[in-house]
Formats: sequence, structure tokens, C-alpha cells
Amino acid sequence: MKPPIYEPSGKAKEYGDLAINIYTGCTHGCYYCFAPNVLHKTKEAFSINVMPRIGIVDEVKKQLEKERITGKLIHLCFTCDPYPADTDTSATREIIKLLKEYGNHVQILTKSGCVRDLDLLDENDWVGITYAGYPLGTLAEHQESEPNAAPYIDRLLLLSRAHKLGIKTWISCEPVLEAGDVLDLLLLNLDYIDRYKIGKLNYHPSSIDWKAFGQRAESICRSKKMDYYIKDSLREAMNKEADA
Amino acid sequence: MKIESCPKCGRCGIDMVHKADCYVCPKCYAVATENYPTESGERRRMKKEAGK
Repeated sequence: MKPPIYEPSGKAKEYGDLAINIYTGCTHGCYYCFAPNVLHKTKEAFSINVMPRIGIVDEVKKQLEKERITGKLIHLCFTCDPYPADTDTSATREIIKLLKEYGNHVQILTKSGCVRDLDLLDENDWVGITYAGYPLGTLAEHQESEPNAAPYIDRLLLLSRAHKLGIKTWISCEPVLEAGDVLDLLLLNLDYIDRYKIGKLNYHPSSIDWKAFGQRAESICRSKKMDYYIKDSLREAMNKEADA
Repeated sequence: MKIESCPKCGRCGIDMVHKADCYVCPKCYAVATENYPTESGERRRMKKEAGK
């Protein structure tokens, strides 16, 4: 196995300096997921028999010892969810313990509503969820676009709990499926969300006017003095001249 | 125990979605726990404070 703690490249770089992908795949079944392509797997192969990568915990420990990685913010995860549904997530817990033991901080990004490891985290860590924009009235429902991910009420509750514990919270508005719903979320400026990262829908067709969406999103964030980050792909679309 | 109204937008508590020990407002995503003061309790507190 290559050293599991790695420096992301391309679009992923904007999320963190270092990252670990713990599992072999993900059970959430999101239609827009880029990970099967990256891992050269079919969507089916990516979503069945999901388990921790063989030896991942030992390899993380070895790398931490060998490279003396400390004081870093490490993203969990890019090509999988650190809390895949119906999967034993002890490996995630073990890895968080190790990272913290070596003086690092973690940045979790999940579509699960039950992060069991909040007790390991502190004010230097981040818990984040994906919010792609969801139709009104589906707060407590599973989304067609993310069939096995937690309903977004559970994700929001997770952030609310983390915030109460003093852990920093963030929302990844990427991918954006429903621009209006994402803008509505920004307008709410929820008191239990510390940071928003806003992007677009990549690798899939969309009828969203990204320039207008990005400008509106940024204008809301500025007016409400929110901590936000516009991802490069969206920024690029915002800076583009309108198509003739 | 029921939340009487959303602590943020004031929407009626009946509409709030109950999950574990919390209520989430479907309109503004505010989260209230079961220990959150009810509207009447909050009013009492405000009156008391105003009377000081």
C-alpha cells in the first residue's frame, strides 16, 4: 500500500493539505460520485463489500511514526465516506485516535448522520456534511440522488451536536444540485455552522447558471459576514464573461 | 414534551420534525432540544426580565 496519508491534487487540494481514504468504497450510492472513476471501479464494485482498506490503521501508524507528521489538518475522506452506511467504522475511530495522538487535527466530510467519534474531537477539528440542495419537504427523507446517505435532517443534527461540543462545523455545498435550495440554506446563516465551502456540480451536465449562482451565494455570505470559501471551479465560472 | 414553537422563526412546534431528543424546524433548520424553554416559559422569562 502507498503511504495512506497523502497530499491531494487538483480540485481536492482545496479541501485540505493532507487526506486519508479509509474505505474501499462507499455505500451511499450518490449518482454524481466521482470516486469510482478515480479508482477505476464500476459503480457497483465501488458500492458493495465496502470495508476498511487492508492494513490501513497499521499503515497510518507507520507513516505517522516515520514521517513525524504533526500539527496538520487531515481530511477524511475524498474517495469514500469516513462513515459509510451499514459498515463497521471502527477503523475511522482508530485512525482519528492515531492522528490526534500525533498532534494532528481532522476534518471530517460525511453524508452520515451518526458520527460516533465526536468524543475524540475538539475545537481544532472540523465536522462537515455535504449539502447539495434538496427539495422542500424532504428534510427527513432519503434523497433520490443519494439513496443510502442519511436524510439531511440527520446531517444537520450532527453539526448541531458537534457545535454544542465546541467542535468546528462546516458544510460543503458541492456538488450543487438545486441552486435555489443552497442559496436558501445560506440565507438562513445557521448559528451552528462555522464555515461554508461552495462549489458547483462537476463532471455532470447541469442547467444551473453558475455565474449567477456564485455571485448570489457570495453576496449572501458577504452581507451576513459568514466564513465562506468559493471553490476554484465556481470562481472560474463566476469570472467568465456571459456566453454569447 | 413538545416544543411549542421554533426558537428562531416562531413556526408552530407541531410542524417541527422530532428526531431523538431534538426538534428541527423544517423552515429555518433551527434545532431545539426537549429542554428548550417553551414559548410560554420564554415569555415568562422575558416578562420577569422586563420587570427588573
